[in-house]
Amino acid sequence: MSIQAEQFTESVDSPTVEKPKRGGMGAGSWFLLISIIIAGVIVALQLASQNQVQPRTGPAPDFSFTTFDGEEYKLSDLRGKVVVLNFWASWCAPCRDEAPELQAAWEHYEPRGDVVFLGIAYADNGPRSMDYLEEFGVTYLNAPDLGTRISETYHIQGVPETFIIDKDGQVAQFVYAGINFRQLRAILDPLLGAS
Amino acid sequence: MRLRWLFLSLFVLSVLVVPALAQDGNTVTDDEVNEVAKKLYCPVCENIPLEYCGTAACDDWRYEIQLQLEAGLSEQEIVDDFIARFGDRVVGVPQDPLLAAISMIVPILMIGASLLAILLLGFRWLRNRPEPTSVAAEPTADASPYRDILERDLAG
Amino acid sequence: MLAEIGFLSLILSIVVAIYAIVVSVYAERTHNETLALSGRNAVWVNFAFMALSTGMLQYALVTQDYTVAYVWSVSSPDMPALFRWSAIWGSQAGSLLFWSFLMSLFAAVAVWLNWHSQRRLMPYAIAFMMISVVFFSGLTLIYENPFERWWMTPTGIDAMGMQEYDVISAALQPPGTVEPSNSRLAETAKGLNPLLRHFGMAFHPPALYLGFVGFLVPFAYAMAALASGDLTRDWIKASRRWTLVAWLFLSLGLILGGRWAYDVLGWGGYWGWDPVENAAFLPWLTGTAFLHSVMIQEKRGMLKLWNMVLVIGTFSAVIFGTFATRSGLVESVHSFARSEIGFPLFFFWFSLTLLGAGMILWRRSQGLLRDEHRFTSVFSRESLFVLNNIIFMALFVAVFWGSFGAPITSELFLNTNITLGVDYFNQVTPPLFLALFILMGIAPLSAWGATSVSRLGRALLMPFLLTLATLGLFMLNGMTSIGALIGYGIVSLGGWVAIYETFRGFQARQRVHKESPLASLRMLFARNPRRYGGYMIHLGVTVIGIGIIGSTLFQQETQQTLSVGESLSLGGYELRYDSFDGGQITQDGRILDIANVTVLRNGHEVAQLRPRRDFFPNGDMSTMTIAGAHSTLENDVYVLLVGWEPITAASVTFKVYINPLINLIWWGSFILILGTIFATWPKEIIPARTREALRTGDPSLAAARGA
Repeated sequence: MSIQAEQFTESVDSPTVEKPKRGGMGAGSWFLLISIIIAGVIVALQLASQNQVQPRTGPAPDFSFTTFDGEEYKLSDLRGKVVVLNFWASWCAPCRDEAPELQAAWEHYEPRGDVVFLGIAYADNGPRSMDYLEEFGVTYLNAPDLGTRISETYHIQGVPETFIIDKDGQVAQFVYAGINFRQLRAILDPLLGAS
Repeated sequence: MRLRWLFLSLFVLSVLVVPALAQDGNTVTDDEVNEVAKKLYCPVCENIPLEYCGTAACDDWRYEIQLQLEAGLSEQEIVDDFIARFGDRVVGVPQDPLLAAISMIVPILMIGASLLAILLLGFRWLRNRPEPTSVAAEPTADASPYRDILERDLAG
Repeated sequence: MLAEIGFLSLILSIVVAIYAIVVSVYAERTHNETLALSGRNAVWVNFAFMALSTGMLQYALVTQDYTVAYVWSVSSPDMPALFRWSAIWGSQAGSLLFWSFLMSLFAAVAVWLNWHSQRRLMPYAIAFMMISVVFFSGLTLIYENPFERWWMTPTGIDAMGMQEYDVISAALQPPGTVEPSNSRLAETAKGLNPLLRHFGMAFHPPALYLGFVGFLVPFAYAMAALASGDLTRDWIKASRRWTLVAWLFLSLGLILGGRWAYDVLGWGGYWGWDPVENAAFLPWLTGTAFLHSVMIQEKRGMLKLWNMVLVIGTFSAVIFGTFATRSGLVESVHSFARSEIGFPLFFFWFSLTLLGAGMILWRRSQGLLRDEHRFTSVFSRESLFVLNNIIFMALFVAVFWGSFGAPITSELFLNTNITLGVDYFNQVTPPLFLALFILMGIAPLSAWGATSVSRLGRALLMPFLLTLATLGLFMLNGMTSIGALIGYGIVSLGGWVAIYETFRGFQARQRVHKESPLASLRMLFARNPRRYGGYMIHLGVTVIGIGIIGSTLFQQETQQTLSVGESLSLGGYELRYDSFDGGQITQDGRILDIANVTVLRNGHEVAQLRPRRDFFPNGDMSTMTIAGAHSTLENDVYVLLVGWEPITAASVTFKVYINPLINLIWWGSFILILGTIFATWPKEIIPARTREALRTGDPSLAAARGA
């Protein structure tokens, strides 16, 4: 049995306070609790979305883009062909290493007509991007990722990163970091050989 | 439509790059570039103002700002250009009116609510004033150690 | 072997902590004294195991045992010895272990100091503290085990007939593996992140952690009060010193962080309003509000609901801060690498906040958090403190919204990333800070209960005149901006009130007692440490405030390229580029490029500065820009090396800042720390004999204790 010390202080110190006993928690209390729950849910959603990673399988997220030459396309326009989607930037050193490899691979596959190379410039859309393309003699499609929307859709963590998308629009392979001609051939030939 | 204008300006810029490189000394000072860079954030690194960011990419972007200033673009035009290319995260307070409203609305609401709370409390106290309870006496010396001892004795 | 001891110790400490929780709660419900004592002892046993565990990791770091994966990832053979000690918080796993250790330490000390005086609250308090310890130790054990070691598993024979190995990490030796050689591992050791290899980084994290963890104890007492129903002043009295100590370390941690940023990050500033910085600032806001608000409950039994909300809110902010930092909730330069501990941390924060709020509302509905007195006057001390609380909460919401609320909302619901940077915070927070400074001037002069405006005005007269004199000084020195003068005035008022009140107390003592002035001052602080320590803290805050206004509003900068012998001028100073020392190699493998510049004022040489760029080829190939600064009370001349012509360094680009009054920030912090130490000092310690005599009711001894 313990004495409620509260009773001492209330009667000694404050004779002026009236105490109508309220039973149960009012609507305000429930509102507060529910707000905390909602806030928690929002934070959890944010955490979940931050933890998303690059797609390694399944349908490749669609996006629209406008190439450096001003032509507008959507990824889904390229359905029926194998797409090599490569994220790069002119300020990225490993990208410069893989650029000649990609160009060589493109020249190898271009005559077939069922492969498309698409370069997306991440946070890079100024004169230096054009210099980069000129320097490596890049002839395949390239588009700047305005507002970094495409990069966010694919949850890339940096550049260079490459996604190979098969003819049905499914992600066949994700390559983190630079890629070379040999690796590309090893991935592409099976996808193309099947048809 | 806006995109076409953007690419046109990019072409104009690239055309300007060549003669700019050919020129010796530039007319735009570092301080002027930094003035503009101060208002922008690095598009790639997180939460670093473009003025201070030390990466090669940021050097490139500051160089671009220099070119744009030399081409005669105003500060606001450069900022708008960066937003169009990199998204709203590149400025410290969003320029898009909806986003700006969301950003500023809560603090404004909060300050307003606080003022309201203060006013309401003030009025309530003024209304309840009738009894000036004399509270000169400090509460009696703290009895908690004795209460504890009593408790334990009673608890056995 | 030692790593295994550390690992097992950690497991045992968790088991003991779980025992402590269960036993303490059970003992409280059944009023079983023996079990309660057992629970108390379990806290100390838990601390012993945590200390052993952390000690093992620290030992491994200091003795360079690279077979421990964590040691390999945060240290390297060429690191200076000091950083071997600070490397324990160099990365996620070690810092979590260290955090758990601190929680365990504070719990043990709290139990040791307060078991008898707070006997009613202790069992529940132990339960809540141990819940925290279990969570963080468990998190470390399961997700980020710092005791994992490198093992080599044979994978086959290669072309030349040599055994090939794969390297894996695991806590206990998997069968069939071989222990790798320490010296081979040492060659590839990653080493501490270069940014952390600075004196400031040796102290900033532990100070911050001590501040965060320190709030565990007031939180536990508050929750214990809610759980047990004892909502009198007990929990406040128990928490008071803990809150001050935690607040001291939190303030120190924030200041050290700012100083480190200023010295090492190379952007001429000390606070960037980055989300992770703000995450550490949020608990400081509610903590400071709580520190003030508890005085009202102690003296008048009011603001009980506010105090509960503030203390539980502070700890909730601490957990949220650590969750946001370690999980990468929003983008920040401070983020640790993203890991899986995000969701567990989230659930802990969420449950704790919901439980705390629920319990507060429950007890409130029972009428136990009612004010014991009424508010009688708008200018009474109680009212001003409520105002204080409201403004701190408004600041809290504004900072939270800018760092987390708005970016999360726009990212989730509008699919757009936004940054709310310095521009936002510098628009929203100054009016609130100024309001706080005004309160800091008025509130110490207010009285309990009825206060007339005229009385307050009379008390304010002298400090106000002193403030005007200060402003006159500023104007004499060439300050013309009205806005800045108003800012300086508002900020100085609080400081002058503090000085003047201390002086009045000193004067009063001098009139009554025959003692030397120094003795008077000493007795003043000894008799009433909280009040005069508090005044000193206010003075420190004022000095910091003046420094912040000066360095923010009147900073000058320029960036120019100079050739050898050329000078630039800024703010009355001239900077001349003299020479360049490139490619200097240091003992720990850094490559330094140093520029030598001379600072002149009115033609006289004032300082020789050596701004430099450090390059870490052995680490992650990163660079650090270290400024050269000439510091005086008036300003800092702060020079950064931005770039230079390769090889010849015939022309070098410098960025120069003039930061007026910035050193007041560091001096003010020193005053603040000193004041907090005074305020925490025990007022009177009753000798054990006297305490015993009071128990038995011996009147003669009671009289001796007397006045």
